[in-house]
Amino acid sequence: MVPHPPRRPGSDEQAVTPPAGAGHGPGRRAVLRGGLVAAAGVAATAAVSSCQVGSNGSSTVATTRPAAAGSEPTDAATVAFRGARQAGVVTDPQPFAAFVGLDLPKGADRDTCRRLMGVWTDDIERLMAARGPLTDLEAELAQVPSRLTVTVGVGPGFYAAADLRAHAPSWLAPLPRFSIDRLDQAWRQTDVVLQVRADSPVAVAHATRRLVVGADPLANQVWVQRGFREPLTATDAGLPFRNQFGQIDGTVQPATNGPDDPLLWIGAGDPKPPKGLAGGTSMVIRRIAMNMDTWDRADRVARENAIGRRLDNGAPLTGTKPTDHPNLQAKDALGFPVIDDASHLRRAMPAQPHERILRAPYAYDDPPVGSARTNTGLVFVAFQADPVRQFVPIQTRLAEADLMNIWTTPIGSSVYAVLPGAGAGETLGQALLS
Amino acid sequence: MSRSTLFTHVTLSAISPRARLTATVAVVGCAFALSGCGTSTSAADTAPAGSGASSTAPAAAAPKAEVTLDSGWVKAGSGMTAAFGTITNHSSVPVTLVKGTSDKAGMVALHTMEKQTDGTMKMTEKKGGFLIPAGGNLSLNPGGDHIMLMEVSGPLANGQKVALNMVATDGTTFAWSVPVRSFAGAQETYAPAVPGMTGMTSTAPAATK
Ligand code: HEM
Ligand SMILES: [Cu+2]
Repeated sequence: MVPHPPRRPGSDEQAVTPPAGAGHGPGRRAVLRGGLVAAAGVAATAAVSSCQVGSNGSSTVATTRPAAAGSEPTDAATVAFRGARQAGVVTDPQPFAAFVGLDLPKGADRDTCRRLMGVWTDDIERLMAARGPLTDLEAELAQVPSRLTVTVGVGPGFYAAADLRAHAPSWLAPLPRFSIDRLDQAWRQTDVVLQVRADSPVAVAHATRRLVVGADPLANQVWVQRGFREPLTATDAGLPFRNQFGQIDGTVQPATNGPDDPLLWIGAGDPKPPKGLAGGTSMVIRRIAMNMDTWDRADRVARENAIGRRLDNGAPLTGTKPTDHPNLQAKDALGFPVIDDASHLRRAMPAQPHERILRAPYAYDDPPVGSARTNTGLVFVAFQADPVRQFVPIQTRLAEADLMNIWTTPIGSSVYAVLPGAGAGETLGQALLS
Repeated sequence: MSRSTLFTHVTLSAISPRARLTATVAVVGCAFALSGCGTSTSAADTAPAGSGASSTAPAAAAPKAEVTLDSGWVKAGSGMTAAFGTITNHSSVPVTLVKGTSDKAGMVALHTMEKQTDGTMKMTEKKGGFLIPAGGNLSLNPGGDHIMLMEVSGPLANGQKVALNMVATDGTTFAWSVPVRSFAGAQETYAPAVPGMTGMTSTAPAATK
């Protein structure tokens, strides 16, 4: 995996961020499928008995060859399902994603929750190993390893159905109402969520379909949010990508390789984690509409001012490289701050060291509705151990003042507890539902 | 005949060659090519390994065989349903399964799908049972060989488990715990022509012959 070195916020130390040679190297598209992981320098593992599903730790990536793909060797990859933590959190975001919100049926109880998790555990394990789930009659669609990850989260309704409300983390509740919100119930909180990500849109579509119909009637689909993102360069499969406003998005992040684990994982910092959630995290999904028509009216100077970073390479306006630490004191010739006080960078920066989140958003560009020419935005996804402590202060500041609010509108909001991973022989949610 | 029924039938028809292949192979008793995981994922995986047709008769003084159902599942439902998966014979002697019992079904039968002279696909009893060659396997699939569960006691719900005890010709019983899964297909298993089960008619007629 490509490590994302930590940035030390709150201090004025030199920030360390992933090197982002922002140029578009050749073969940029080619990396979307398979080659991406190989390019990231992952050790290749020989195809062993492919029926053996990887059980080596969490979220490790190994290249395997599918049993049924014939003699043609591939350098595509699978991600291990089994482990203390679910894949799809610190895994470098794959280019394609679908988020599916589902509700439990009326009258669901703990047994319903257990059965749902039993079915999904087996289905996800097979899908991530590039095999079709048990009932799959089009398993060939699963057999091209595409670095598929499926991540399962549960909402307040899951705890209520399982009669476990007393054990729910205190933060598992709707976010406060923010003045900028124009929430559409179509993207409401649901009882459970699936995050399905892969290098291939075919793999995402197939896995999503199988998991949704495979859950019938234990969970019913409420919404689907699809997204996409391209790696910045052929060799950088990491967190930054270019969103539909053309900005490099995802530069400043907590470390995903250990040092910031208390910010990312439940139980990594808190001595008394909520029941059954040690090894889990939280996922905030905000659907944020981006107004492409009004954005078109803004020139590049205004656009860079709004974010506080350069559009070409994502460097702070006070620096030259994306990794440069922004200098908030710097003034221009007229005495104005170089990085605007209301810029997104300035407002989103942590005021306290713990106000940091792992952002893994996806762009969406759905068919326009009515007379609109675009239906574009961000499926903004943030992982953090405690969203109330880490996410809410940031979102509160952004709601109070952020030049980006001129063009962006939150239209959906939900919060989930991402279950810990399933160890060998375990089902997802086992510790919680036992 | 409604359009939707016809449509179902076209689907069945499309997969029937595979079903026939599986059935033929089992009856002739050829050795199966061992697929990498014992999970048969394509028709090629279940193709006969070679020409050598071994004896169809199980060895007389057979060492204790171990037979498993890999990637097994039972379609959720009530009344009648079926179990699918890959039966793998880990022993060095052929094994023929001839009957079974279940904790959730009053009757367990070994079925296959066969094209009739009128072109329709019908479920029929698998004559001679399921032969699994030594070290080989047999795929049970919707539209092909399957273990029929009848007189199912109460609805089998997605995510539950069903116990299957399958009995070989020598009386050896293999106990399998099989997960129940929601499944939209295998509709053909739900229309018995005659209550008594010597052959249950598929609801779908053949589109062409
Ligand atoms: C459509 C909506 C949004 C867009 C287009 C957007 C875009 C960006 C961009 C381009 C950056 C600078 C590069 C980087 O460090 O990633 C950034 C930084 C950041 N954004 Fe956003 N963002 C959006 C919404 C949000 C929301 C809702 C939050 C959280 C509530 C958020 C939190 C952050 C944080 C924490 C940073 C890093 C700030 C720092 O410490 O330098 N963003 N965003
Ligand atoms: Cu039958």
